[in-house]
Formats: sequence, C-alpha cells, structure tokens
Amino acid sequence: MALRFEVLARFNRARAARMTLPHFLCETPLFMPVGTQGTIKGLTTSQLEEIGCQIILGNTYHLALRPTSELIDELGGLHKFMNWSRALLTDSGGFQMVSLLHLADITENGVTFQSPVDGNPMLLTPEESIQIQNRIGADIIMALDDVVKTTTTGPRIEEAMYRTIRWIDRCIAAHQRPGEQNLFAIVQGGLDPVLRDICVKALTERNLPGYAIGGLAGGEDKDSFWRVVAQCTAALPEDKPRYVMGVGYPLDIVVCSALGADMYDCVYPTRTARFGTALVPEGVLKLKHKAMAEDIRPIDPTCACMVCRTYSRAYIHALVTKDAMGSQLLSYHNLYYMLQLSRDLHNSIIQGRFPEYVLVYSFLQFPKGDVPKWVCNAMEVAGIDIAACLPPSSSRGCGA
Amino acid sequence: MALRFEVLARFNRARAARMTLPHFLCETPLFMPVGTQGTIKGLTTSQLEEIGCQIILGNTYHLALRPTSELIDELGGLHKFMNWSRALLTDSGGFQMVSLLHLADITENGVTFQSPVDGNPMLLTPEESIQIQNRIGADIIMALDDVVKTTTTGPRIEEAMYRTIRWIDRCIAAHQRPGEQNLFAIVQGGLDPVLRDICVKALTERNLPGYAIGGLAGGEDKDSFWRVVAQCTAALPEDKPRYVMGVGYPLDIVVCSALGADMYDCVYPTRTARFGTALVPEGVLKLKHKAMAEDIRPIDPTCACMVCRTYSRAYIHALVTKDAMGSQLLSYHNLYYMLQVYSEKKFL
Repeated sequence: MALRFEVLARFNRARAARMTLPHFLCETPLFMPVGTQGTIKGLTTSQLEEIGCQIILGNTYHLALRPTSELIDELGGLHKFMNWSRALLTDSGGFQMVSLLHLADITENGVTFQSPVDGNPMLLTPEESIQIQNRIGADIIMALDDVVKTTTTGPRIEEAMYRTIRWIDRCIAAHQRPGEQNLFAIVQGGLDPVLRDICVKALTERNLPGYAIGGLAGGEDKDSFWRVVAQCTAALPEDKPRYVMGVGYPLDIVVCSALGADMYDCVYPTRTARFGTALVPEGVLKLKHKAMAEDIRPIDPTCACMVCRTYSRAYIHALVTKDAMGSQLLSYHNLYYMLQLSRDLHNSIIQGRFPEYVLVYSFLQFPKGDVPKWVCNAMEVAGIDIAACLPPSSSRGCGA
Repeated sequence: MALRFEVLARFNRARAARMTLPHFLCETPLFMPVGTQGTIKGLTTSQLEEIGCQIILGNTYHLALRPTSELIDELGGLHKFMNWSRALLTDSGGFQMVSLLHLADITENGVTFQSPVDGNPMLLTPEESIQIQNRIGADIIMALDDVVKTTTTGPRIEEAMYRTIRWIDRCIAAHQRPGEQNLFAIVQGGLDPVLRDICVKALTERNLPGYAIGGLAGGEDKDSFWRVVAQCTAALPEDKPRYVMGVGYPLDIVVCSALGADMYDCVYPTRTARFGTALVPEGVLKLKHKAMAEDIRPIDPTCACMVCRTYSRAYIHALVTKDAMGSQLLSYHNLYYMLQVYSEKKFL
C-alpha cells in the first residue's frame, strides 16, 4: 500500500488525520480542487502551492482524450507533465462519460459510448480505466463504478450496486502499480440503506487503501444526502480515508466532516467564480451586483489571500464578466477559501475546539438563526450542539 | 515637471537612461504592457512585479466607459484601484475611438462618435481627454492628437498634423495636474519628412516632459517606418524621452532603440500568446504545432521566467486553444521576454 492514514485527533465522529501519499503528506479533512485536464482554470502551479493546495483531482476522461494517457506516460506521468510536485487523484472516467456523452450506455462489460473524436463506438472497461490511470500516475486512482443518479428509482439501483462490486475485483486485478498508486473503491446503492450496507461490507472485504461514497451530490434532497453519508461513515473502516465525491458547498463539507468524512472535490468554487460569485464566511458575495461598484473593501476582510490583500470589490466588479481576469481572481480567492476551510476543520479538531468552530461557522452563515433542518438533524447525529445559533424561541426544529 | 530623464550611457544614437516618475524609477529603453482596462489579461499585480514590469499602459477609452474616470477618481485614482504601485501611462482615447467605433469622425472641436453605451452622439475634445486622464491619475498622460493611418494620402495628413499642434495647446491649457502627471505630445505628419519636421519643431517649442512618435505601427512598409523614427529621434530634444507608440515586434524595438527611441507599447506579446505563439530569441514558437506535443523542453531554455522554469512545451501545447491557462502562461512568458529584451539592451 502506498498510503498511510493516521488519525491524530477526534471529536465524536469527526477526525483530523495525516494521510501520507507518495508525493505529499496531506492533512485531512481536505478539499481537492478539480484540475480537469491537468490545470486548475486560471491558477499557476506556484499559486496553487501558495494557497496551500495539497492534492488536485484530474479527470481521466478529459486527459485520455487530450493529450492521451500514453503521451502523459511517455513524458513521465501527470506530475511531471504539469510540474505539480504534490499529490494527485484521478477519477475513473466513468462519470463524465455518462454525464457528458449522448449515447453512453452501461453494460456488464463496461461503459459503451460514441467517441467524441470520430464518432466510433468505444468501450471503457474497468481494466481500461485502471490502465489509463496507471499511465497517468496519480497517487490515488478511482475504481470504475456503475453510478446512477440518486433521482433514479427501481431495480437499476440494485443492479448498479452489485455491478460495482463485480467491477472492483476487475479493477484490482488490472491494477499494475499498487505499490505507488492507491486504488479507492466507491460505495454505491442510491438512497437505500440496505443496498448501501451490502456494498460497504463487500468493498471493505477487499481491504483497499481508501473508500469513496459515490452517487451523491446529484439531485437528491439534503436530508437523504446526509443520512447516506452518516450511514457509510459509520460502517466504513475507521483507519482508512473516506472521500465524499462531488461535495461541495462549504456547508456540506462542514456537515460531512462532522459525520466522519475526510476528503472532498467539487467544481463549485471555480465554476461559481466564473459567474462572478465569491465565497465568504457569510455565504456568497455577488461581485456583479451594482452595490459592488464603489465598495472599496476587499471581498472578505478576514481573508488573508493575495486577492483580498490586493484588490477591492470595486476593482473586481469592474472586471467580472468583462475580462477573464475577474474570474481568475475570484477562482484564486474561492479556492483559497475552500483550502482554508479544510485547514480550519483539521486544526479545530486537533486543538479540541471543533464544536466551537462549527457553531461560529453556522452563526456566520445563518445570522438570523435559520439553520436548515437537515443541518440540525445531521449535527445531532454528529453530536454537535448548535442550539446557541438557533433563535431562542425554537424548541427543536430549525428552519426548513 | 514630474519627470526626470538622465542618460546614463550611449552608443551612437542609442541611449540607456533613468526616467524618474512620481510612482517609479524606470530604466529605458523600456516596454510597456498594455493593461487595457486596468488589468493585463491573465497576470496578477504581483506576477507583473515578478517579471520586472516598470510601467503599464491603460486605455483611456475603455476606462472611461468602464468603470468611468469619475469612479476611478473617487476611489483614489487608477494606481489605487488596481493596486499597482509602479508607473502608469494613459493614452488619450482618440485612437481607440477612431479604430473601434463606426461612426467616429474628427472635427476641429474633437472626435465625435456614437456612444457605444446608448448610441447618443458624443464628443471627445482635447479638454475632455485631459480631464479624464487627470481623474485617472497616471504618471504620464498623452495629448489628444489627430492621427491618420500611414496608408492615407493627400491633404488629410497635413490637416491632421496642424490640428495636432493646435490641440496640444488646448491639452496644455486643460491640464490641471502638471506637478504630478507628465503630458507628452505626439508627433504626427504621416510619412512626409517635411510635415514631420514642422510638427517636431512646433511641439518641441512647447517644452513638454516627453514626446511620442505617433501614427506609425499601422500598415506602412518597414522601410518608411524606420526612416520616420530616425528623423524624429534625430530632431527631438536629446534630454527627453521618446516614445514610439504601438511598437511592437521585438525586432522593431531593437531597431528603434538603436536609432535613439526609449519607450514602446504594444498588444502584440499578449495577443499573440492568445493564438498560441511564444516569443523566443530565434523569433516565434508556435505551441499549437503538432511537433510540440511531445517536446519536453521549456519554451526557451535560455529564459529564466516562471513558465520556462516550470512547464514543458508539451504541457502548454496540450492547453493551448483548449484552456485559457495556455494563453495565460504564454502571456506571462511573452511579457517576461519583452521586458528582458529591454534589460539586455540596457547594458550599453
């Protein structure tokens, strides 16, 4: 195994850990920026280091198309290609295929799809996905899973869950670099606790370096979302990292960490930056808004990032949607925000003040006390008392 | 005058000088990246400092439209707005107006045009241009001139040259901050040596802090181009900076510097970056070319910039035209290249 995971401190289910990977020693909980095809839109490698990025996610689908995994391998692997010395994770390619391509179809053999290059029929099998990822060379690679949307109902969910288990064995068999790359399995099963339980047990038996909770961050309601995360984190091995794929909004990350998850990825911070939105402790700040035009304050007066130390809201307002620089600066700030959130989660657990951190965080986001009910419920399960930021008159329930 | 110009060394007509401006002590010859509306596409302020940028050009036309010069003034000037502590130069707005707008027309009063915001007729006068630039607050401001393309022929060239002289006096009269901002005049006259000579003499009499050679970098042939530069640099005051507007290609800059010019600006390095082209000592390198796909060398093995120290040609090839990051990295390298070409020339 090419991964060591040591829990340094806990608060109930939440843990702060050290995850040693071939290229970098990471601290969890952590957020992974999505570097689609070997680059985070708008930030150079040294800027990523500046903001404290520990690990980046690369999309296997995009990289396999361009510049191809064979070329990356020839040139020494993705680390060398993008000159990123810290950690990398690649996904399996399956999700993008299903979400991006028209005629993608899943069979027992793999994912069949129409090549976007020449329109010919192609097949991504578990073996092929692992081989591509072996060539790319990331520290963590993801199994090809059969993922269905959480809005799906019926026997398809069960079929997908069992197929995911059959495919993990094919992934394990195909994996040629277990000493350098850590294969993570992905728990499926939709919103059905019985299916999720079967899947967790089966994947745990395979004794892999880490586990992801997949199939969420789609269209499901938040109440179902946290329950699946809670169930999986309760059942997965204590001494291995848990990665909730596709999450997410800062609030989601705080809740999932309280429930015992360790790793996250999402395009949200950079994508919302391209729409002129900045992430701030109070929620979001829309730089396009007319009120920003003469506001000389930085985006977030409490933020220590280069953007907040250098530019005013007025300046960024002038750029946003008119010059790519606006998106760039907001991407920089938003990623810094997410990485600082990761550091704050890790450090507050280590320093024994995690519940206080969660309380302050909730208070800043919901100053009127309208904490969503799903958050209240999740925090109750996590054993974190946020009653202090609810309105005094409310007995149990918070806002919807 | 808010500018001091000291020639430190010479080789025939070429000179290496120190130009002290309110915000920065510059070394010439120098290249000014174009920061259209308060930003150089793709580079942060600290990256600009990293690569040794001394002075940036802001386009008055774009800034006046957005976010408006009044707002910039209210917020303390362009330096503060973009948080750039070094030097700034603004152009007059006239050139963009003429080149970007459909119904722009030049009369004795100024440049009439149709506002791109609401379509109403508007007028940019020399007075208005200077007032806008006073609000923006750059170290160097440019006079509104009557500029014609070098491909124009006939009496229009002479008319434009004389009008430029009449307008410089209106600019001087309108200028409210001569102690902090340096007004440069712009020599016009097309490719006609007689007209250029009249213009140089008239503008020199006004005893301004610096002079630009305008109206070039259009469609003229190179042989005519250098001759106009040579004539002007020979005739303009020795002890004041000479700025060849809109130039340009690295080769052009080397030649103009050899002929005695000191300052340059051009969108070329950043614009060509967006087409996947890098500037290298041998000329250009087209990163889109298939041959780049497996080339693990840096863009320029002799270049010390962050891009050449970090990324291979193969990596940039993969990004170019597919991800904005490609343009960004090439812009960074190309600007570093332009700024370094300068310090090479400086050690005269």
